Amino acid sequence: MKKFLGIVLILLLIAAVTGFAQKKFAGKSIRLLYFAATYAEAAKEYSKEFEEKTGCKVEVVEFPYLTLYEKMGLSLSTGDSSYDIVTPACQWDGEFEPFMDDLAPLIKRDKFDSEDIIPGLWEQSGKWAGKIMGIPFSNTPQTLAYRTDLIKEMPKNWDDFFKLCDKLNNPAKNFYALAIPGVKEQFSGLWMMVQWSLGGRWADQNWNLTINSAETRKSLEIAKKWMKYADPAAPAWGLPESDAAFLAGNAAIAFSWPTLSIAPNGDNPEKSKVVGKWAVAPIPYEKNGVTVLSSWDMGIPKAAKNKDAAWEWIKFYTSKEKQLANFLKYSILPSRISVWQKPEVKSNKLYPHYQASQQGAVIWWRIPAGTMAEAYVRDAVSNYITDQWNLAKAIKFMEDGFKKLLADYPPAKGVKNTGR
Amino acid sequence: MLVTRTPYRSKTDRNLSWLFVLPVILILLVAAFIPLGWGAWLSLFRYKLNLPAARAFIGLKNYLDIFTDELTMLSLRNNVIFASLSVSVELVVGVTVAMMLSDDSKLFRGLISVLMIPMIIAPVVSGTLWRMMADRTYGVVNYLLSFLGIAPVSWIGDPKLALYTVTFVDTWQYIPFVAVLVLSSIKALPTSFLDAARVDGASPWKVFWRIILPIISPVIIIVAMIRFIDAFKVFDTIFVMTQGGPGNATEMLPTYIYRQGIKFLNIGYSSATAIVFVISMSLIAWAFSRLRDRQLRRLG
Repeated sequence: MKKFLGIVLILLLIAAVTGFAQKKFAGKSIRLLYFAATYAEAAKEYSKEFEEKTGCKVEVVEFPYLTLYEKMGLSLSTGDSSYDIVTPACQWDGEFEPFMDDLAPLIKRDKFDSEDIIPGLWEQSGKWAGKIMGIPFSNTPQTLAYRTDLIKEMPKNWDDFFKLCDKLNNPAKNFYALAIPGVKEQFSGLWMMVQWSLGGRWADQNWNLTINSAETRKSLEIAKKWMKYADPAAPAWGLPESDAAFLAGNAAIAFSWPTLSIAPNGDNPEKSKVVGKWAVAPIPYEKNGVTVLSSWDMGIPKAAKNKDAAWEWIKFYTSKEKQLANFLKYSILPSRISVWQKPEVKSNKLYPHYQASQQGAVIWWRIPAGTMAEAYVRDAVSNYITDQWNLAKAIKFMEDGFKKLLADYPPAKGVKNTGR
Repeated sequence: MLVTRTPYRSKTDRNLSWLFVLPVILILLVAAFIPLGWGAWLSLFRYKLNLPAARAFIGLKNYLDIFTDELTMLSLRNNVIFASLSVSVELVVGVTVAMMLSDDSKLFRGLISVLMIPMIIAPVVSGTLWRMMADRTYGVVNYLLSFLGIAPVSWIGDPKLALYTVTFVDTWQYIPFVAVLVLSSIKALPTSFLDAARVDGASPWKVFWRIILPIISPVIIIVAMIRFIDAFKVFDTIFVMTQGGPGNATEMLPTYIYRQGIKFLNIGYSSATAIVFVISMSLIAWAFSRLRDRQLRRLG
């Protein structure tokens, strides 16, 4: 009997230490605000594992890019405590920083392996005026997807690019050289890439406007010329339609964010007619080659209710293990140097993104007026390429708009223009 | 001489009347006037929600900016074209359909419920459907037109056509609304008028033009007012079909106000535009009411 009681006691002790032990965040729950894309899909998949590990329930709330900014902006600026974690795109950092916690004390406390995060990337995504407001978890320079059976090598300049387009374009057979998302929210980013590649900027480091330049004029002309090689429906297309045209085999080159749709679906015979016949490449290099950066970071709002549990999720989601899984399963490009060095990443079709980001990727103005400045670009570029405005009017519209914004909402003292 | 008198109401009666009206006044105050007043107050500031420190009182500058803001003026122009065109077509076709359906045959009675379908679909859904159907390359509209030998048309990708395409969708959706309201007023007409006219040898066109139309005109004016204000407030159809593009070819005031206020958190300027919008709509409603009153007086 004594022996039996002894065994029961030992078993109870083991159970208390392991299974029955109270998990660190048992009974708690966190709500995360994500971009409705692969990032949210991955988060949803990992939420069960996180709950098993910590006891904390996870609710992922997701919105498409076009509405995410307003949802996040309204929530943060009104002190709403609905979200324990938000995931701003890097271009929104300057606007949302006042409403976000500084993560530096948590990084120091938990010895978070921050030296593994690509330093240049973190400066553009997650850090603002010396404050760490987020940890970057995705690093995507905008690239091209192209048909490897039709194109041997992507041209290095725009003249050669158009010569190639001339050869490939065949509207009579409903085949176009380019698949372009022409809605202004998407198209403006494409124009920015070209302006950068030619060496143009919106303003210099000290915010003196440089938008009225030969590079701006040439880049607008190039962007307009693209439309000659695209499906005439393109001005009304968003990314889904544009990517679908490429995957359906109706275009040779897609101006896209290949990681969002082309990479996850390109080699799936149920969803693609270009299986094994596509690759990604940076845009023609010209002078700068710099592309648009899409990077997302995650941080904790000042008004969040469960900050410790939220930090636990950030460590979990941005860990090396999860970044590798994100890359292999969801085509989410890592923000950690060590993950890029893994053999399975180096041999992947998406590896050229790393080269593109090494060439340099930047986003537009990260100051609070940045989103409005980008809106001036959207309107000007879109009206120009659809023949509603002429070149001079489009450039003047951007210049006047920028002037007004910088006068009404000047950047804080000492903040330099590290973007466009 | 006949002397009319206002019936005597005791003080208790008057107090009771106020008591009954009080809940409505309170609800209006909370739901409409306080937000409107707050909006009017905000419109006097340069105020971006995510930059509370940069908030500054600028008086009427936001209102003056409206008239120099090219995109506000462009949105207004688009809005006027959209509302005028859609309401005109809806009225003409809606009244015609109502006249056809006023016949009590079984076929037409069945048709009413079919015709109601566009009206009961949420504009977000119908906008999404039309966006897909109107796609130049993959849409069913061009596919069907190809049987008639018509080359593909970029309905929402061509800035010259996009405004008319979204106007068409709105018209398609709300013709049943006009038709049903006009039909109910036609049904309510005393048949003796119509019978007498027919006995006197009036043609169907004359019966419609000289008798039916004048009598139902106050209803048509009210329907026109409701639809005009509604069309001016269009948002969902535009948002899902074109997002205001290509360029700003289909940008409307409500989408522009939304863009300024909710997307850019530029609350001061968007409040000023919204206040101007509310005042303009109130004036339009007032003008329609005057027109209706005049019409009623003419009818005796």
